[in-house]
Amino acid sequence: MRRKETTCGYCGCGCGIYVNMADDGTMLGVTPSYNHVVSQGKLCSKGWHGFAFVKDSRRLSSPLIRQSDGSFREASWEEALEKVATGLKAAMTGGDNTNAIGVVTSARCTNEENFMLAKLARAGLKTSSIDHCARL
Amino acid sequence: MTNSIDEVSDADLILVIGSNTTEQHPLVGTRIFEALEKGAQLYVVDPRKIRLTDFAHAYAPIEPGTNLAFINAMIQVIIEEDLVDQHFIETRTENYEAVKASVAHCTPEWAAPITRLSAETIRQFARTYAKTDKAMILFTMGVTQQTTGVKSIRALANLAMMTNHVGRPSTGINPLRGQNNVQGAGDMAALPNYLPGYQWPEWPETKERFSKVWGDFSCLRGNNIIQMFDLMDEGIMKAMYIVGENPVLSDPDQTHTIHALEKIPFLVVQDIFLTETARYADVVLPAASFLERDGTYTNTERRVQLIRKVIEPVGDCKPDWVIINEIMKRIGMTVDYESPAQVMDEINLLVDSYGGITHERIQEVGLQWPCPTKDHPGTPILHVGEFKRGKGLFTVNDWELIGDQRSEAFPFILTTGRVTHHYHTGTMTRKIWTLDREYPKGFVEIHPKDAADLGIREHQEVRITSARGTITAPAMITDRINEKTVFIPFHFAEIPVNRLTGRNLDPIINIPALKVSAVRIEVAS
Repeated sequence: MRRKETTCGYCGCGCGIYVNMADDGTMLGVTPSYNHVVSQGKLCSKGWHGFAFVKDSRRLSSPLIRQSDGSFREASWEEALEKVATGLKAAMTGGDNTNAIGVVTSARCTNEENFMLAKLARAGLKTSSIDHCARL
Repeated sequence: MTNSIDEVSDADLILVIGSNTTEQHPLVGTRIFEALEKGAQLYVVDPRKIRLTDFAHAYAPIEPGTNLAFINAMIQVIIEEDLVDQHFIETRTENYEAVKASVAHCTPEWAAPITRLSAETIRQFARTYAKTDKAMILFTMGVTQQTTGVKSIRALANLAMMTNHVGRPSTGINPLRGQNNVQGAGDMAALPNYLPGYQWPEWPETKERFSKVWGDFSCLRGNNIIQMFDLMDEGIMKAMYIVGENPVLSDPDQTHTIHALEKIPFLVVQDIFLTETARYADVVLPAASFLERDGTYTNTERRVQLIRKVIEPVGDCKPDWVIINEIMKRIGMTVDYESPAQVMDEINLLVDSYGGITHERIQEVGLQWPCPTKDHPGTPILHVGEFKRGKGLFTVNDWELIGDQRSEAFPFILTTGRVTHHYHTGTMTRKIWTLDREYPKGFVEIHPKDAADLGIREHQEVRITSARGTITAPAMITDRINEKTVFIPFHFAEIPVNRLTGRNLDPIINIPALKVSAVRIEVAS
């Protein structure tokens, strides 16, 4: 068995956890971090159990594109990303796009990802309309 | 938080207002219990008899949406009884006299009928808070999600400043962030009115600083999430990119939200599951979860901590930063980030409070911002000796009643929230059987007296109707909820309580009053 230290991804406490894995990489469970400055070896029910959604069979596993009949079909990353770029560029007006394009980001994303999304919105898509769930 | 989680254990008084701490921030909850064991007092303000009230020395079962009247009355009592710290006010703050004049009429007797509390309860809270040396305020969305949300926070700041409860250990005003990286998402300006580091986009020096690294960029005060959905509904907004959010369940007025999602010409949703929102997308991008990628989260005490890739991304999923990087390149931006650590280098450059926080430094223990330089130890307590702006600013926050109120047609107030074992819209926790078995379905909490009046039995299906819509839920009859008040958690897609909530907004920052909706209740036939 091996284990890797990380930070719990649920509430704002930010507790320290170790994820225990079998040699083949299967996640076995979570152990609290005894020296962590916030959690000091304790965890709540979400901390103990919250990793188990990761391998759920309902996880999205491939990009999806909507077809003309309304249903989704699986697509390659290349095709999906190209479609995203084309769709976003089509909405750009040539000037400021604050009322034309919106970006909604997430408290689930890391600092680095949120920074990149702020840069993508303002410097790439030329829109100042970017927000996340802090209000909700 | 102005202060740190560790300090909760050493407080002499913990004033919890609008926070179900043991259920929503359990590891802050344990610190409250540590403080109680050392002899601290616990004062709780909440419309529900949450678990903490079982241990509280005083409990104020407040009417939802009236925190501002309560806080202003506390301030009036503290001034009236001369419990203020005159030295702190004179040396560290400004505009105190304006606040003093503005709350002169806010006596406990004035606030009592508004808050449905006794004047004596309000006096007790005010006196104990003012007289206790190490008094710490904890709050969450129970204060913010109402039409006077911003004013209530500012009033809490008034309260803390006038009693010298800022800038010292085990004091301060401490919002507990409900999601793992709400703090960091705000810090990184996933906000329409700021650039990263809460820098105003229209300031010339900020503009210059960012344009050196970002090139030309949009520097307006943009539309917030509520305004964006209005623009979508009006057909003005043409494209929307949603990452890791589920507004169909989390945003107010679900009918309006769905209509806007149906109307937008181009919608991209990036998530780990096909959420209720992703079903409306033109393109869905499968993302990696927090166990499948590297980066940092900033917790509620401003501590920047590493998350590590524990396993490889499932299926064909990619980390969000990889996907965003690809989109940046494909719309023509000249960037190519190779790792989250490289993005952090750019953050160090542009955000002073993160200036010294590198991935290398936080391998063992996270650092609390502000941490401006590579040898700075981080900042556990804000506003020590001096406020960030210099003098602490007292603000006038007059009570007003806007948004939903009880009426003949809608005689109940509905308030919303979470339960211990679930998280937000349940996308993850409802798929974990050990958590889901604890709360497999939603419910509506209703007081025994109201249930008797309406002929509602335990577990009976009840119809709840607001001016926006109707849902049904099984009744949970409990005296933990105030009379004429009901509570419904928002985790459950089959009981979408945000079909009932409205877009009654705080006029200053547009937070919706999700905690205050007028509804009527009846037995579902």
